[in-house]
Amino acid sequence: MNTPPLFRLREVARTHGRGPAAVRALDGVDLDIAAGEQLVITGASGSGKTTLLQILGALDRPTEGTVAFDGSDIASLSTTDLTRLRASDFGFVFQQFNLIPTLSASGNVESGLAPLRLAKGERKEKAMSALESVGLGDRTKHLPSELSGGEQQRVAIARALARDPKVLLADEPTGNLDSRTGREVLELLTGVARAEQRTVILITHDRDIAAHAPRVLEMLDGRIVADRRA
Amino acid sequence: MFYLSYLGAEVRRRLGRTVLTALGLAIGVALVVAVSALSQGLDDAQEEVLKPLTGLGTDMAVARPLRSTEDDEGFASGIGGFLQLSPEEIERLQDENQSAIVDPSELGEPGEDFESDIFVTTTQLSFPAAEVGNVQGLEGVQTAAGTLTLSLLNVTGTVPEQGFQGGAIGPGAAAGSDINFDPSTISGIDRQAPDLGVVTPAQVIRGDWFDEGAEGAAQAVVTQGYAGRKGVNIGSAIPVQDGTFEVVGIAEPPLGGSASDVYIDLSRLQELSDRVDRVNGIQVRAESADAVSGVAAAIEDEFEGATVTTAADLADQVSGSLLDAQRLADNLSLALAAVALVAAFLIAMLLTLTGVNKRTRELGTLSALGWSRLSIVRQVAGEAVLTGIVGGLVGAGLGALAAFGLDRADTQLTASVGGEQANTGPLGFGQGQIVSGSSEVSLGAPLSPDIILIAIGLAIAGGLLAGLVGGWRAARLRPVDALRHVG
Ligand SMILES: Nc1ncnc2c1ncn2[C@@H]1O[C@H](COP(=O)(O)OP(=O)(O)O)[C@@H](O)[C@H]1O
Ligand SMILES: [Mg+2]
Repeated sequence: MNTPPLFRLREVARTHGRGPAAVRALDGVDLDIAAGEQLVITGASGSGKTTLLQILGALDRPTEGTVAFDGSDIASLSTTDLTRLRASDFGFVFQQFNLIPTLSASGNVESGLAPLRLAKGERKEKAMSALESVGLGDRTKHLPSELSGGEQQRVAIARALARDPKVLLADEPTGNLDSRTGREVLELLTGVARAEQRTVILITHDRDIAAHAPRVLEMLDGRIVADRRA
Repeated sequence: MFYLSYLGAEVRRRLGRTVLTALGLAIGVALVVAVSALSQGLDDAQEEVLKPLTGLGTDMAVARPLRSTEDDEGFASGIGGFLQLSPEEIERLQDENQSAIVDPSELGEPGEDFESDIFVTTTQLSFPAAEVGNVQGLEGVQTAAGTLTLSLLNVTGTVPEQGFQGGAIGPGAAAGSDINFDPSTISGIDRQAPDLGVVTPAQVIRGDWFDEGAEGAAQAVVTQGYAGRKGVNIGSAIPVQDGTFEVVGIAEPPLGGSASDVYIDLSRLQELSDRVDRVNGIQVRAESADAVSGVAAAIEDEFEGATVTTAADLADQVSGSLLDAQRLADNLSLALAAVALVAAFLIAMLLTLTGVNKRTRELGTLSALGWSRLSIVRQVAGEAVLTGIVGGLVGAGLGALAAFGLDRADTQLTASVGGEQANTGPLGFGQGQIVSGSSEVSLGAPLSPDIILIAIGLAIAGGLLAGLVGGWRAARLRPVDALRHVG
């Protein structure tokens, strides 16, 4: 069976700024990603990983090339349509956790559910079960400042997963964690994703993770220089 | 709605920023409230000082003054002052003052003690009472009442030997003789028009106003100063020439208004002073405040030699700390409040802006999570508006408290009506002496619902402004900032 890829990128380039100061963060990227695939992106700092993730996650538009998601071109979508797409299909996990400091763990998870306009009861229920699934069922009322780094990142994962996204994107999610906690968080991410047949795109410097990943992209100077499958 | 719990969490948990923003707005709004209340209080204080002139219905006074020049010593200069007048005026005045020129031989045998009351016209010439009707008939006049104000000279002493210089005595010829002159002023008022007289029931601070019926003709109201000077009290009988009057009331004359020492029934005074059907002042009430100046002009046109003094003319003469405070309130304090308010608005906007900048990552994250631009703007603006409203309400409360404090402090302000000008000439309201000097009035700071409403309006405006600025800034955030922005 030859299903079309979830993502299809062709000659994608992204230039920041203009004139002599312009930086070509992506420089001709061709990439297909199938639904349910688990992809790890590695590469030196400044090689364009984050820029690629932003384009995949409908946070940014390429300056050149085409990006098809689920069969339709998203490079030309309006800002509003991109926002809608993010709400319905994508979940993000960030290096700095990006939790809202004034909201409790469950409040943070609910903030990810807010654009879905669920009834209050359903929203709270989903938030609760997402927190339970990351092992934080007893920390729902805690503020981010009252949680450890690993716990905070697990709240962020719960926030991303509660929406049941098609694609989970994570940009160096362990970058701010010690290695043991980082390992736990990554196991959680990949484990949850695997169980649910979710597409996961993960940026990491962790060679160990990269070594065990089913598919690894290596980037350099805005290009994909290696695409290895296990 | 998740929006509301998030909003509540932001406002509660970022307490420092909320309190700072709210406090800035609160201080601005509080100043506006307090200064407005104070300003209202000053207006009230001025009104209270001028109330006897402006409030009780006497809008203007008509007199026919002697056209004297530089008569800056008032009545005390006596007939000597007449030298500066035209012969015609002197003759008219002397006619009226016949009774003041007394042949000493009529007083008794030389060496005998005597006492006599003599009526002397003040600087206001008399005219037929019919003029009151003429004024009454003018357009724009609601009511007019005549008054007669005279100087009453109580002369006591010993009848001089034959050959006493000049053969006559009068106030100007008293020097060196064994005769005492005790001058006071007396006004006859129309008891039928109590609110329009030179003394009104409202000015009576002890006792009563004249009896409306026949009894009133034998009653007198005296001013506080006269009562104190003469040891007169309610119930005292005071002789006025051939009549005796029972004191029924003590009056406190208004500052800037006219004051006679003694007030009695107009007809009785006319009889006693031999001036039947003559008055020398008309108190006029106009139909409306707008009509005052027109009526004043009409009277001066119609009535030869008349001078009209309006309440506004008198208000202009009031000075003192009351006016200073009022000027201060009008200029400085309001400017201060305006500056404080603008500063508060700016601070609120700035703090909101800083808040949004600090939350770039957070708001970018919400955008990455699929929050629409509208809901992010609504979030930020909602927080600012809520903070602004809290600040405004706190400010309104603080301002009300400050106003209340000012009210309780019971600050005394003085209002003065000054010297020479007021003591002489035709400026008097009525024909007695103008009450010069100063009066104290306590300063309040009343809070009107208007002020509170304005304060709340300002608070909401401040909140909206801050929200607008914050929302505008938030709308410019991009979701990529969720991953990029460091801080
Ligand atoms: N907004 C931007 N403006 C200018 N240059 C940028 C911007 N974002 C990224 N870049 C540049 O693009 C290149 C790729 O950046 P990035 O995608 O963040 O790399 P990585 O995530 O691999 O470290 C870098 O040289 C970076 O400095
Ligand atoms: Mg990066």
